[in-house]
Amino acid sequence: MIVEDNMAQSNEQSLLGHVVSGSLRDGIEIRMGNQISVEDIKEGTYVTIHGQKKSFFGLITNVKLMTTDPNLQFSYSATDNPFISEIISSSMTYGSLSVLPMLTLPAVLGTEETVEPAKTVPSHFSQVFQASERDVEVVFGKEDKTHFFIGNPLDMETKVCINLDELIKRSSAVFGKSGTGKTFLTRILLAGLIQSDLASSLVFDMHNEYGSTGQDRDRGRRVSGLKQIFENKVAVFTLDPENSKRRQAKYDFEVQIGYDEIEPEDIQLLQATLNLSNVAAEAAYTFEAKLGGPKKWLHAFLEMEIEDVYTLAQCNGVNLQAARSLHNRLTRFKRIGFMKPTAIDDSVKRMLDLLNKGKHVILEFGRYGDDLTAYMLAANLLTRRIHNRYVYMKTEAEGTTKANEPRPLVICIEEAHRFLNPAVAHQTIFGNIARELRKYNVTLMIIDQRPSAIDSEVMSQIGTKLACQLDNDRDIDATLGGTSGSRELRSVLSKLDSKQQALIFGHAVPLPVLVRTREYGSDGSYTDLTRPSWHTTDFGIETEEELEERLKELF
Amino acid sequence: MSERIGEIIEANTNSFIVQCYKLYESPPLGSIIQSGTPTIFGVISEITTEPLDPSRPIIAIGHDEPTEDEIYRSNPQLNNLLCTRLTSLTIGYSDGDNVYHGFPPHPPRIHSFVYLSGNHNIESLAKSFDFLHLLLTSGAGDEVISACLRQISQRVQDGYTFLVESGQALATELVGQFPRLNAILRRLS
Repeated sequence: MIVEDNMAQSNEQSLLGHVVSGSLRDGIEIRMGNQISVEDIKEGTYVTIHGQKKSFFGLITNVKLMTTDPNLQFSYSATDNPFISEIISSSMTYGSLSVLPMLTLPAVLGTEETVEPAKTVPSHFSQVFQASERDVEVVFGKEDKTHFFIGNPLDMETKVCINLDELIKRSSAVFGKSGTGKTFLTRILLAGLIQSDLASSLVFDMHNEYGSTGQDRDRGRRVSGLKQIFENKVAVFTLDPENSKRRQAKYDFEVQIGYDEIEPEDIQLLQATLNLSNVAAEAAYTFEAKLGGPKKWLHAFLEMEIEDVYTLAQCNGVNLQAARSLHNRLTRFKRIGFMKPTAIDDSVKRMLDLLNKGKHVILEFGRYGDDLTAYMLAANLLTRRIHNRYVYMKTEAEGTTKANEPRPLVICIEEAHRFLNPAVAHQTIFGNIARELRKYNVTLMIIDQRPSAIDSEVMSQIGTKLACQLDNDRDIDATLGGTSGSRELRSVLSKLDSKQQALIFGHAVPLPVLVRTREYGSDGSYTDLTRPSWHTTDFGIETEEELEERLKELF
Repeated sequence: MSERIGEIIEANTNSFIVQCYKLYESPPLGSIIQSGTPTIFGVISEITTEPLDPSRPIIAIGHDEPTEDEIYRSNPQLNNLLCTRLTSLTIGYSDGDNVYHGFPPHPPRIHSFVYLSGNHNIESLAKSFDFLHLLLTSGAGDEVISACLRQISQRVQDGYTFLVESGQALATELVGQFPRLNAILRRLS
């Protein structure tokens, strides 16, 4: 057992100041010692506060300049006279830090006591120190199977880990303006999931960035995709084999979608992108009923001449205008290459098999990534079928052992607000998953640049959020909605660097954390992802299987 | 022992009045003086020259004299009719080994000899700035405080650091009185 020695720790850490006032709700105020310059302190830095009975872990949310006398600001002698200036600056002026106490740390490491949310504040004049590397490690956990190294706190080399177990229990989200590193962050997160083997993932790769080689536009270099890093664990599906060939990107399977798989609900989701009226979208249900039911209706509908559509519409009380626009817009499907009257292969079944085996599936859209209709149709359709399957598997497994339950699945979607905006969130399968599918072991990872456009009900169900730079007020509000200390986090969020920085908060981290995300793109970074340091035991053995083999050899 | 300057003619625990042995021969304002056993330290806060007999007011007599010095030469009795007195505010006392910043348990005796304090005692006193609090509460004026600090700064090893640190101590004492603090600091700079 390691007994934490406050005195010893005080020597190795730098004393920032003392607690002088504050409250649990608004944070506490620290009067800084004169020996430390305010210019050395950054917002978002972690501090530990040694109270009388407990140690607290907090986050600096504001740095202020204070004076003991308000008249000082009206005097010139403090700036004109160097002697007076020296005295005044060291006695009447001081720096003040606002700190949000987030956690209480165990007084004795190694006991049952764990890190807990702070429910009180440290007493007056408690000493405040800059958090040591060890403190950060105690709070965020050591890198292991479930704790994935995501980045470093600013100004520190300690590894901040997110709890992947918690991350996959609920939906998560990566937000940020365009070009702030959402894709890189998502790649890292997915690599973490693959590395840990805790869940399978299905990525709707709208811009062909995850599976094969991607671009680091800022550094002008190419970065490896997940398929290249985790060859055996990742399967790439493509909707556009021609495009893949042109890009010389390897793919494992081609995906086709048959007309027979499309349901009127899918048309309703596409209402905005196809520019259909409510009436026209609703008309799809009538045509489905009249044209041979779920499997056959679309094929039949698309093959009909417009006059026949009119006749059918007239007989069934459908507005002619609506019927015409529906027919007109749906003929667009004929131009989408991956849509066939009948698919050659059951891609969904193939995907499900792979996912159940613990593989990770990346679906590349090729050039259809820019066609919103194609993207939404494919993503919604595939997800709906996978969802149905998971619901079935989970229901089957009820009452039996946990081993029979379907393996947790994380579905990663870009441009998520298209599926989850208030108008369609109630209809799309993604809205459904975000709201309730946690119980069926399926969660979403939402990648988006306009969090304010996502339905608030969906937002409220997101467990962990990773936010890159955002500067639109509404987006910031939407991202931080319902988070404790959101006022303080707001200023942190709006001042993030536009590169390689993210604010992570929610279930997967014990407290909101501002990180410089880990390196992705160099050779060393790939090795770290495939062979993390915790993987290798003291004997140089990397996996449990290898350990067993070695044991067999021995005996 | 340093130079003897006079005797105490009136005393209480927080101040004492000294009559100087020689007319006009008083140490400057703000000087630190000491007297009695245990030794009591004080800061000169006021210097007065007046007739020994308050009932005999002084009249102007130099109308026909060419210089001021001639007045005293022509009227040698003046040296006995006038006297220089100084008021000292107590800032501490010593029991021989330690210096305490505070009022002594008893005031000094009348006719106690008064001496200018030597460097050793001044350095002992200047180790803490508690004497500033006593001076401020005893009603010492800004001039007295600044004169005292300037004089001490000339007697200690690092005068500048002493002035800066005393300025910081004053800033703590004079919270909310920035104009006064500023006035004292300007005199020190």
